[in-house]
Amino acid sequence: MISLKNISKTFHTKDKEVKALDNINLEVAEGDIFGVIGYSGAGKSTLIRIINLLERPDSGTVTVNGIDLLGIDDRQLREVRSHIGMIFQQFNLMNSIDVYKNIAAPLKNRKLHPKEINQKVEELLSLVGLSDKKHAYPTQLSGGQKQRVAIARALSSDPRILLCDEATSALDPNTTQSILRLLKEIHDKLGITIVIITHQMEVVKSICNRVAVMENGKIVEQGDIVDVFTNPQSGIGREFVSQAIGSESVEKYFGKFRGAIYKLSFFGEVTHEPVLSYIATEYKITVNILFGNIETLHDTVVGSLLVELLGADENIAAALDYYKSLNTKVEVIKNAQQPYSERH
Amino acid sequence: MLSSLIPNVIEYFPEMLTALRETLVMVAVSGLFSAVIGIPIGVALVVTSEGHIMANKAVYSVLSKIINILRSIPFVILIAAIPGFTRMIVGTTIGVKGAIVPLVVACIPYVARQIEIALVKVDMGVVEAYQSMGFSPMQIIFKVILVEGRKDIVLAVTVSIIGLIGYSAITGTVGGGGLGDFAIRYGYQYFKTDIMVVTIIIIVAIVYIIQGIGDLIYRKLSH
Repeated sequence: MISLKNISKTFHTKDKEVKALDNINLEVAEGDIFGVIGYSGAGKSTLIRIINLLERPDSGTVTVNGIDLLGIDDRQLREVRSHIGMIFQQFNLMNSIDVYKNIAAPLKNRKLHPKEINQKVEELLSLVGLSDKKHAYPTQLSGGQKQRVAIARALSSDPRILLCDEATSALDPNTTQSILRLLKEIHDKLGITIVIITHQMEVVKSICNRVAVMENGKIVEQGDIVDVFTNPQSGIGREFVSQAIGSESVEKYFGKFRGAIYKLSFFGEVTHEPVLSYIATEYKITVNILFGNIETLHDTVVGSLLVELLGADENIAAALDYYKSLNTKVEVIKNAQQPYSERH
Repeated sequence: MLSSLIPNVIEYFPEMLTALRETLVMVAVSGLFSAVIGIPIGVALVVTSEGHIMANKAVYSVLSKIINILRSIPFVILIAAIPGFTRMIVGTTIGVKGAIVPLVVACIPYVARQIEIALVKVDMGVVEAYQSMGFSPMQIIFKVILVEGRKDIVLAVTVSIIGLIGYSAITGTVGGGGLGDFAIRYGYQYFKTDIMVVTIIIIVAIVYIIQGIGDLIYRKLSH
């Protein structure tokens, strides 16, 4: 549905050049909720603005719905844009007109009949849960409400794609969750493809089915959310994941443990099983739980455990084999500081 | 009692009324023309500036330079410098008609800059949001920039009109008529202090009324 190929973009300022995007390749399929995560300055905002050509790449191709956007004229581009919704960190509503008019503006521009406009605006207001704020002005609304208006406005042209540029970054955690739920609901109800740019892993893990991790203008890894989350390949990917599951704070103290530390990732049914006490009794292993967490990623339940395993090496190896047989991912975080036999 | 306090004002009251009418006509007509020509130029300055929707360095710098040159010419000199142009447009260089042309020429660049200052305040993020919805540059100007900037346009026009009142007084001294001419002739040259004082009060009142109307509209448009 969206295909970016070999996209590069360099910004020239007076005294330096900034390579914002460096040979980016990205495929977003119809129906995806695609997350792009990275720290500020990674180039992700430039990336999302390339999709509707608010920013033109220096090289590469941008294809949306089979249309090569760099090969069409301004008028055709405007037509394409009118079917791509976009929401922003700062909401970007017009403060001088009320909520109703904000949502109606793009409809008026398409010269729809006033009756049609009215019906459409009412529908959108009820979709985003703001029917009672129809005649309020944006300055009278909270951040979350403003973003809801912006979502309604973005949806007014029945877009097949919704671009979200740090749409929850200016919101508190509760409001962020409610906006994410709304986006998910819209996705499920309207079958719309969503691209989300964010620096919050929280956002990605809540609703995305696919994710790309960006650093210094490059996509360092991308894939299915569960794969990236349970088995991040890049340093920055691992950083985001440990921030998201909250293990970051304990990871600092790993040096103090003498035994080997493992990260165990369980999927689906296994998350409900008492697998730790099983290895403790079966393999005579002492399990020291350092960190534990259960997440729902998109539609999959993933349990993460950081454990220090103390026991005979062959018992530990057998226990890990047992886990692997349960479709559990085992990752060695740190090897034992000395062999077990010398410790006892 | 009034006749002992402001005897000359009473004696020259018909002349004063004429002068007041002349000033109002000068300010209204030249204000109207300045706004009609100056606002589009101000809009052009904003949208052709760097990074804006119709960014065009050449157009922007030419417009900007013309405005700077016109604004740096002192108004009295401007009046004296363009009589040929004035005669071409209105057929005379004196009276209210002759005053309006230099007033408009002086006020257009002033209005244009004020409008530019008013409209750069319109959030580029909002402009971008409407670009992303497929609005054309013209649609963005009329449906976004001018709507979002309208309350600041009101303030800009208010300030410009008040500036025009000052300029209109200067045209009086070179044959333009109006309250400025009246105050200088009777109040200053004939030492009729009461005329000077009352004229000043009238001008201050006009300024207050115009500013008041501007502020009122601004508040109405603010949310």
